Amino acid sequence: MSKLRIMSFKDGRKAYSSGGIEIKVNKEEPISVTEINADENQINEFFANAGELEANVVDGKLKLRSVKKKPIQ
Amino acid sequence: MIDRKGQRDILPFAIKTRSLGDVIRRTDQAEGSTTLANGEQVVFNIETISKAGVRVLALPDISIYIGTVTTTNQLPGGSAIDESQWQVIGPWQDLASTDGNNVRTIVYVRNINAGSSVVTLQVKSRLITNRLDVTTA
Repeated sequence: MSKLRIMSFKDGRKAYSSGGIEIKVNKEEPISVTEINADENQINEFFANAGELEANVVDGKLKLRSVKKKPIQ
Repeated sequence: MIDRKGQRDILPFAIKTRSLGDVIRRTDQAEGSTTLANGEQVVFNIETISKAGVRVLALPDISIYIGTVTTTNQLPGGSAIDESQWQVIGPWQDLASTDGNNVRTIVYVRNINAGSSVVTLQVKSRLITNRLDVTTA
């Protein structure tokens, strides 16, 4: 198991890291940090598809969801 | 007859090459990502620490991607990347943040005018230390 760190910033933006990398956006520290244990393959999948997957914590577990909008019929 | 003052040195009978074993080790992969609009910037701080408080030498191998992690999206050099739209400072090992028992690497990335984009950094560090309880933190 590895840890995914979900960082929230003042402007509503999120940043993500594993391995404990610290991230500052526009010179600001995150206002909150959530760490979630997850399978390493799941974390790798999340970063490999950056921007196309959303990371959420559901019942203490990491859930990945596609953020692609369905095409208008 | 002259007395010998000391023992003769023992001379090698044969010489064999011995390697030092697995001296250079590697950390697990660490990653970071966020979304940047035009004019926005991110600083990635990667720190490799000896938990035992001993000297550690770390060489981070870093790749940066814009969007999904593929070779075409790698900054710099990816075929889908326009480098004129990005500013990167670093990576380097920060002298001000180390006591010799850690290595802190800093990478600054600024989106000049690429439009809203996800920036992802991947890193694995090669390291030499005489204690194995080292962490990327």
